Amino acid sequence: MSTEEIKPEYQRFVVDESTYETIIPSKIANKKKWVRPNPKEIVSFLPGTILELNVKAGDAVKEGDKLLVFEAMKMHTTINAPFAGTIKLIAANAGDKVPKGQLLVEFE
Amino acid sequence: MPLKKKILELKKRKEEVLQGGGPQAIAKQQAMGKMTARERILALLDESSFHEYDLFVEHSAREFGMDGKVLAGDGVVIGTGTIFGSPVAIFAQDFTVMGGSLGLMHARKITKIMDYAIKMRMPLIGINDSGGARIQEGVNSLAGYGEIFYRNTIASGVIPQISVILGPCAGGAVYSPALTDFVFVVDNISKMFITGPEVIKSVLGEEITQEELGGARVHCETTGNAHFFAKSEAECFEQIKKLITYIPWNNSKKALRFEPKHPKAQYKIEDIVPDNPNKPYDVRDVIRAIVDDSDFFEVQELWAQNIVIGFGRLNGDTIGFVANQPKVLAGVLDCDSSDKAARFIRFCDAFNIPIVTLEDLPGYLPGVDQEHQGVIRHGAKMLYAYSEATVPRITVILRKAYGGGYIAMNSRHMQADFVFAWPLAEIAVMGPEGAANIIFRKEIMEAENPDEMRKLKVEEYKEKFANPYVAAAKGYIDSVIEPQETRRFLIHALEISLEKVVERPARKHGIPPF
Repeated sequence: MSTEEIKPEYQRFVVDESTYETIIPSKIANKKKWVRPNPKEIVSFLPGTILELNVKAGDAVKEGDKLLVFEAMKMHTTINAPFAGTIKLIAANAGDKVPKGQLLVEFE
Repeated sequence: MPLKKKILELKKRKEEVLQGGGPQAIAKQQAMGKMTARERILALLDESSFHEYDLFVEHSAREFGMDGKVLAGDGVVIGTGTIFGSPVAIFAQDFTVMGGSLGLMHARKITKIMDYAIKMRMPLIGINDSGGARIQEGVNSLAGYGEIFYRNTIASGVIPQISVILGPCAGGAVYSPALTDFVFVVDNISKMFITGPEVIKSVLGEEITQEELGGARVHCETTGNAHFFAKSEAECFEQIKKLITYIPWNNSKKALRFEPKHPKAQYKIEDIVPDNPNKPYDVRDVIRAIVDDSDFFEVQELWAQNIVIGFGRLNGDTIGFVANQPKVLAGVLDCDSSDKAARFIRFCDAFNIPIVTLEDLPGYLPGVDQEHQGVIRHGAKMLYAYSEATVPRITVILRKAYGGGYIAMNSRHMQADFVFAWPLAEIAVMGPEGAANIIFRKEIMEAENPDEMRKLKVEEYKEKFANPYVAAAKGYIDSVIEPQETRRFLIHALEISLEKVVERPARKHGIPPF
């Protein structure tokens, strides 16, 4: 099956270990691979603007400490430390407009 | 003669209103490639069948300088007429009158024609071309939308409802089409979205055009909000007329019967499906080889193409077809294809249209994104829709019927009335490769040449289970038939199902997995 020639409009597509010849729509072909989220990375949950940055690299923070204030959909949202730790990296500046899913703060 | 004078006055008054927004606004409408509201109605309905009502309705706004303004018909045309002799109620928003904006009286005209359609049990066609709420009328405008949505919902499943998007349809306005049965859109003319490009840009910083955000193609290919794509308004009207021939006037009637015709000789049913279950083909050719005059009217042709839905006729009667499409994604079920099929099944059931299911699928689409999008909830809609349907339901298993997909595609176990299978049919819990790997895991692992052993065991499994006879032996299949016999078996099954009765426990309504 896998060595056989197939028509150019078709691709190989596996379901339950069987290989089918079929058209794979771009929506499926181009979908992003799932990656396990890294809990040490604080990422933007919506596109928006960083209003305040309250920590810097090297700071030790307690759980619940204010990390930054983020404006999205006209709401000012305070992002707090999800756990105690040390800040490894600040990946944005106050005033930055960021897209959804961008790294903002990384813990060590 | 006072009557003559009065008639002259009536004519003069009519003429004024029929000007709509005036020559300048009409020229602008035409420059956008759009017809006016009345031109559209006349193009769609049978010649001289249109009768207009509420021509002299005036708006009731008093604030923001609206007091002295005259708005012809308050920006919407309503009336009744016929399409191929069948009655329809229709409204068309008039963009030349204050952008077709919806105020209180505009909405009252729409709800009036909706009430007529519901009371007289005839299809409702709504032509949407409006800038949205009339801001000057404030909450009265919002009230108007709510009154329309309520009636769309009450009318659902009682009369067929058709929405035609021939201009902008934004914000709350989009929910009326979404509540109706079929949405028609035209390339470069239709625009539907909840929040437009400006808002998206100011809030999220994303730049996108109206066409890219909610144009005809987007709603036909990506969102599934629309059902029929046309390149021009004229083509769109032809599609609507054709749809009207397939559907009944209301839920207590059957669709009109047409002169039976044989399928065209060019579609040779025995030559379409390849023997190898891993090879693709276009399942629409199988439908064309079965239906009268090989005329298949596909619904949502561009969205979730791994399942095919649409109307055809068998011996003159309208049938709803649901078919796996091996040509796209091997015909798997996924979130979108389940939604697509489930809604169509519910339409057919509500309007007394028997359902024929053509089955050839390897199972469900695997993937994290599918699971996280809720393929459980979406897939369940199909089980619900089939199980709930009381119209005649017939399944033909053309080739593969594996696993959960086999159950979902109107299986005997969900009370299909008839299940037929072609000799190529393989009814099994999964494909032979996967099944052999599990059942013969030990033998394969311990063999001197595992690959050889796997091949052997796959063949063994195929020999034993990849056929229709295991299921037929249990009575899960009523008849194993030759492809050439399909049309005859279907027509007979439908004929003897005419008086089908299903008894169900009383309930207010079920709770389908939305």
